[in-house]
Amino acid sequence: MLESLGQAIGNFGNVWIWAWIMGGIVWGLVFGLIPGVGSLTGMALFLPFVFKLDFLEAMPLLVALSAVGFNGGAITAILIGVPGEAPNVATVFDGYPMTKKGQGARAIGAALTASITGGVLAAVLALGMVFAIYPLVMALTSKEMVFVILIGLIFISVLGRGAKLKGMISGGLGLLLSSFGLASVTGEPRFTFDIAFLYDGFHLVPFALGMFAVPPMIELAMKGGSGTITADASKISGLKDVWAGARDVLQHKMLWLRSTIIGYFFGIMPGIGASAAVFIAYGQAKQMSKTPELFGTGVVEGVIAPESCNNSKESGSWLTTLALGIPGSGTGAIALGAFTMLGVYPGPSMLGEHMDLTLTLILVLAVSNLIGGAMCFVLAPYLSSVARIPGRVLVPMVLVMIFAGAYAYKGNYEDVLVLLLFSVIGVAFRRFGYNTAAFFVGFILGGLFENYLFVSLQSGGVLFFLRPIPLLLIVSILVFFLYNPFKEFLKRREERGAQ
Amino acid sequence: MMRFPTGSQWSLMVIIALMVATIAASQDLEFFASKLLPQSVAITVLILSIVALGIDFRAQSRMPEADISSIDTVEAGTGAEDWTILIIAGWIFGLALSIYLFGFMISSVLFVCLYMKWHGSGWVSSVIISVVFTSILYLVFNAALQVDLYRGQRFL
Repeated sequence: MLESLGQAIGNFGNVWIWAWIMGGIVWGLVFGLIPGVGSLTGMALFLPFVFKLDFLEAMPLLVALSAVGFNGGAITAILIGVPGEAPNVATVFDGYPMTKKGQGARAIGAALTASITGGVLAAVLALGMVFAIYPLVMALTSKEMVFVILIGLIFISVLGRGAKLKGMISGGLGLLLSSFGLASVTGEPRFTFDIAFLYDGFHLVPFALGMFAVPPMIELAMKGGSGTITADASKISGLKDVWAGARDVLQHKMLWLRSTIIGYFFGIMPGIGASAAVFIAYGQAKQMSKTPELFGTGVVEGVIAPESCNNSKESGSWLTTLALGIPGSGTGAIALGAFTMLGVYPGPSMLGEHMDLTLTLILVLAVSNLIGGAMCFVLAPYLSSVARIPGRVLVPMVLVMIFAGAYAYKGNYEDVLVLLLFSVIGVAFRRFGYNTAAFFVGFILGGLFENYLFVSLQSGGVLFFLRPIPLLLIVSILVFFLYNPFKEFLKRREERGAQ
Repeated sequence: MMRFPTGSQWSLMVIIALMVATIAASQDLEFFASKLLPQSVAITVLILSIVALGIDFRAQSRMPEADISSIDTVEAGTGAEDWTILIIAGWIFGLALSIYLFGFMISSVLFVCLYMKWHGSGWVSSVIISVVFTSILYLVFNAALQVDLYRGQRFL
C-alpha cells in the first residue's frame, strides 16, 4: 500500500495532471458561481468528453470540479446574497449581512479558509480511512456486495430529497432502466422492441444530461430570461480584510474542527445531502456559541461552520464512492458514471487493482481545495461578476452544449431523443417529488447489482445471504425501516396505558 | 365533491401501469437469469407505488372539503408555472427538431439568436453572441474533439 501511495504521489510529477486539475477548478468555480446551476450540472456537461480522455485526465478534472464548486457558490452567497449551490444557503444567513455591514472581505476570507482547510483535513482523513478499511473492503465478495449496493441505494432513496416511498420507487425505476438492452448475464435482449439502438441500453451521457443538466436550465429560464442577478455586488475592500477572515478561522478552531468532522461523517453516509449536513453544522455552531442571538445578523461563526462542513462532506462522500462504489452525493453519482465509462469500477476491485489511482484522486481532492481556495482569494471580486451573466444568454448556450454533448458521445441522433425523454422525466421527477439521485444511482449500479446477484445465487443458492456481513446488513435495513414505526407503536401503547 | 387526482397521483398511476406492462413483457424472456432483475424490481416498485397511491388518496380523503379545494387552488395556482414550463419545453423541442432538420451549426446560431431576441436582447448582440458561440462550438467539437456534429437531414 505504501508503494501505491508512492505511485500516487509520483503521478503528480506529470505536468498534464496539473493542467486537468486547473481545468476542473476553473470549470467548478464558474459553474458553482452561477446560482441554480452548480457543479453537478458542470460535471454532467463534462461527461460527453470523458470517453475521449484517459483516467488520469478525466478523473482529476472531475474530482477538482466537485471539490471547489461550493467555493464559488460561497462568493455569491456572501457578496450578493444568492447561494451559488444549495449547500451555500446557510452561508447567506450571516455572510450577506456581513457584506451589508462592510465586512464582505472578512466573510470571504473566513469562508475560503474554512473551505480549504476543511476540505484538506477531510481528504487527509479519507486517505487514512482508505488504509483502515482496506482489509474490510477486500473481504467483501459478491454475496456481500449485493447487500452493500442494496443498502446504499436504500439510503440514497430514503434520506435524499422527496418522500421515502417515492425515493424507493425512484431507485427501483433506475434499477429497472438498467435492464434495457442485452442482459449482461445471458446476452438476451430485454425490452428492445426490435429497435437496434436499444440493444445497447440507454446511454449514460444523454441520461445524465437529461436528468441533471436540462432541468436546472429550465428552472433558470423560468426565473426570467432577462437576468440571473440584479443586485450589485459589494466591493472587496482589500487584502488585509480578507486575511482578517482567515485569522477568524484560527480563532474559532474548535468550531471549524467540529463542523469539518460533521461534514466528513455525513459525507461518508450515502444519501444525506450536503444541504442537510450544512444546516446541522450551522445549528451546532449557533447552539454552542456564547452569543446565539447574534446568528443571522452577520457573525463570522455563521460563515465558518457551513463552509468547512460543505467541503469536508464532499471529501467524505468520495471515500464511499471510491471504496464501496456507492456514491455519497449527486456529484459522486456522476463520477461513478464517468468511472464506468473509463472501464474502472469503484469498490473492492478498485482498491485491489487500482489503489494508486484511488490514492491519486484523494490527493487531487486535497490539492484542489488548496489551489481552488487560493484562486478564490485572489479572484473573488472578479468571479462574482460571472454570476451576473444574464439568463437569456446563458440558457440557450448551455442548452446547445447539452445537445451537442449528448450527440457527440456516440454520434447518434437517437441520443438526442433519449436526452429529450430524460429531460421530461427529470422535470417530472422534480415536480412530483421523486428522487433524481436515487434514479440515476439505480441505473448506474443496476448492471453490477444484477451480476453480483446472479453470481451469488449460482454459488450460494437461494440462501446465499446466510453469512455474517449480509445478515448484518439485512438487520440494518430492517432496523432502519422498522425503528420509527416501532417507536410510534410503543408511544401509542404508553398513551393508551396512561388513559 | 369529486376529487380529481393530483399530478403526483397521476404519476403513481402511470408507474403502476408501466410496472404491470414490464412484468407482462418480461414473462416472454427465455432465461430465468434475464427475468430475475426486471421482474423482482418491477414487482417491488408496483407494490410500493400502490401503497404510495393508497396513502396519498387516504390523506386526501381525510382532508376537509375546504382544504381539498385549496389543494386544487394550489395545483391550479401553479398553472402559470406549468405554462412557462410548456413554453420552455417548446423551445427545447424546437431546438431538437431544428437540429434534426438543419444540423447543429445552423440550429445553434438560430436558437441562441432567437432565444436572446425573444427575451429582450437587441438584434446586434444576439447575432454576434450566437455566431461567436457557434464558432467556439465548432472549434471544440469538430476541431479539437474530432466529432463531426450532426449536419441535419437537409444536408445529409
